[in-house]
Amino acid sequence: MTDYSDEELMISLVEEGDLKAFEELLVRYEKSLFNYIYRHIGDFHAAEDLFQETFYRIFKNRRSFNPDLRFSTWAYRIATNVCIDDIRKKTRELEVPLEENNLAHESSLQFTERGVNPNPINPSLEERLIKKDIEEKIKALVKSLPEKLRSVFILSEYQDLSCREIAQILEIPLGTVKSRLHNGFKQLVELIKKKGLINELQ
Amino acid sequence: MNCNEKEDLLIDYLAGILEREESERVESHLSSCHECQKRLKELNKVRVLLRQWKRVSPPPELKSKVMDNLKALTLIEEKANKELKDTSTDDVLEWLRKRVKSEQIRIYKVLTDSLGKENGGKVFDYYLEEQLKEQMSAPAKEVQIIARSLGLDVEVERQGGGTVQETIRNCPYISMAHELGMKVSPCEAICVKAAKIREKFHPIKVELVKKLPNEEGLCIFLTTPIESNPA
Repeated sequence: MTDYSDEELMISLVEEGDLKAFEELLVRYEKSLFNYIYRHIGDFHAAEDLFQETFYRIFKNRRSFNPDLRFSTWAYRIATNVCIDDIRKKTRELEVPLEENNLAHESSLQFTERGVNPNPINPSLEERLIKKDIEEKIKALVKSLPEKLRSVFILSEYQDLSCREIAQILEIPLGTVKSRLHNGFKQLVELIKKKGLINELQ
Repeated sequence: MNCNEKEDLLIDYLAGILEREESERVESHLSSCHECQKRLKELNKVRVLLRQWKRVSPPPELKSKVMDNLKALTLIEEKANKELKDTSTDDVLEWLRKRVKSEQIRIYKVLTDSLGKENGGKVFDYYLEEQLKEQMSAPAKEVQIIARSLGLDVEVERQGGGTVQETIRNCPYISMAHELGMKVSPCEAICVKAAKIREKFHPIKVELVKKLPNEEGLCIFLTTPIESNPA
């Protein structure tokens, strides 16, 4: 089973109803898709639900998988749609546009003044807390990007996909991917500069 | 080129989205311009910062949850494909009610493994009754699963209380369909209801035409919003 390509596994799932093939795909993509969804949504528990929904849709729509496409492209596309559906649903519930909502919480991005502990009892714990803090701030920054820029930015920076692959996943022209990536970067650079986050790290 | 333009180009250079020629031009400029070297260094720091958001490990039980959902779904698909024809709607609903949740399947397995099939089954039935009393959203969930098994994508919101049977009784679509001279079964009416619920949350007009494989010529449609909805 491990010798098969993703696409071969899809074929054996569709044609023979082989659940083992599906399980193998699940194993192969668990980490990358979970992390993609998590970065998109910024909430671990919600990511768990949306990951399940993604694989539910992959299975349900297995017959409409186009073998000319790579499985990973198709799976990322489904995961993106699942995330967007969820964000829109939540936005409707809140009746506050997402971007606006995030900006309202921008103040949470402020780094707090942290004095140096002259005699740290548990430096690794301290380190972990600082690291956690930084991650929370990055999470908030990425979340503040408009959804269109965010998808492209995460796929490129965190999932290490090429612009060409991203264009296929999102079904948008290559030039659009590049301009969204540029704008995403630019917004983050400006925000980070504005908040002086870089200096905090030194 | 002003400063902003330079920064834009450096961002693209860093993001790796420049064509080779442009990239080489930026590099040759960088070799002679201190200011831009400094700019690039700053930008790179931003990138290093952003990259500190490390990958997380998915929860350990995630894969088994997906597989459990899948087993429930395949059971439903089988039921919908093969047995819907020969089984009364009540049976289908009963069957679905007992098997909708992967969590419940797991509990069923634990009980029957430890207590034997008969006793475990009894305890499980008791557990289900108690669960269903508590789960206000159970009917809505079932509506979703039934609809999905019929190939419709629906979004169902939490619906007050009540059992599936009550949901059906309160459903205005059965009587509406009868008035229009259509023959519909509760399952199909539930689908329309689900679509209607969806419509409530998307302010669009729902048009749903569904021909069921086992009942020739039967269509469900809903093109105009219905005023009264007791739910």
